[in-house]
Amino acid sequence: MDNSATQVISFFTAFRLADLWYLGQAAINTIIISVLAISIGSFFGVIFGWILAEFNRYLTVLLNLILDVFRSIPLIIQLILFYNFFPDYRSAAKTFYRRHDCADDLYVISGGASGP
Amino acid sequence: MDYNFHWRPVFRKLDQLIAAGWVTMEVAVLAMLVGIVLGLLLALMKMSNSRSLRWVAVGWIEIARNTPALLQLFFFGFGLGAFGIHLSPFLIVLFGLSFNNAGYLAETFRGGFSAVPHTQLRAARSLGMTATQTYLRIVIPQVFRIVYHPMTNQLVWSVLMSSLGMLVGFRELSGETQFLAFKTFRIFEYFLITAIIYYVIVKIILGLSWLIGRRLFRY
Repeated sequence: MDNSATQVISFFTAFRLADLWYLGQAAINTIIISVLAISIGSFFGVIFGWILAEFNRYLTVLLNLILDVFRSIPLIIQLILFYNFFPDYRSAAKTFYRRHDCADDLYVISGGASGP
Repeated sequence: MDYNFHWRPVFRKLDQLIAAGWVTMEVAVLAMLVGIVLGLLLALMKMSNSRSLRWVAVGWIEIARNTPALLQLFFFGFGLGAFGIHLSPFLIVLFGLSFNNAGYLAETFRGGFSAVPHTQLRAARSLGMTATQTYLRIVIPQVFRIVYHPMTNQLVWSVLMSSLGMLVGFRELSGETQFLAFKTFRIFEYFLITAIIYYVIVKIILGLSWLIGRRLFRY
């Protein structure tokens, strides 16, 4: 480790330049999760859009209702609901697959005691 | 799945959740009103001839639109706290949401201003109106008509984003739900009812905005 990496920035905390490495890793996670989410979201978006435009009225009303629910509820509440709906599953699954890169926040707010 | 649902603790506290829903609506509407005023100012600043005003507006808009709302709330909460400025959770959420709303609405308003033909301004001025009269009587009414639906979207967005208040200790709907859920450990049940309350709030807002829009923009 060179001198620049151990230099302490005096900005109220003992934040070190070496910590930027961890932030960089987290940024990569953010990019990966965003690209995956937008890709999967676009795939389903095209299918749902096609159904809404072409299929019969009952199906579109039902689909609209479901999509409306997802749009009208805060994402953080949806994440907590998904997380708590599968209590057996969550111990085995990685946080990554629950669409969130700030894993610790989610574990704290949803009452989880264990880390990812 | 061996989970047993227990709804009674949730229904016992339903009045508290509904009261917290009102708090959510209050903070969202207040943040929206502040956001509209600031957004209008930022839009005008961004279109002005002064370079410094343009830079201030561009800086605000870029930060508001390109950083997560959570980070903006943390700035008003923990960031200002590091400088000895301690705000209440309500003010943290209000300032954070207003900052975010202003950034998004500024671009919406700028689009609205651009959509009003410049010839109307010149026509109004040639009729003897002052610049203020031209803006208040000719331009802004048309801009509000154009941006009305995007503004409604932003209000819905504001309601949804207010849920982040739970992470800075604000007891709005999500914060209250978190507080009650961890007292009883009926987390799924509480958050499911909260999700329904959010859905109802959003539907009420959309319904009211549709009624108001129909009344305001009949012609």
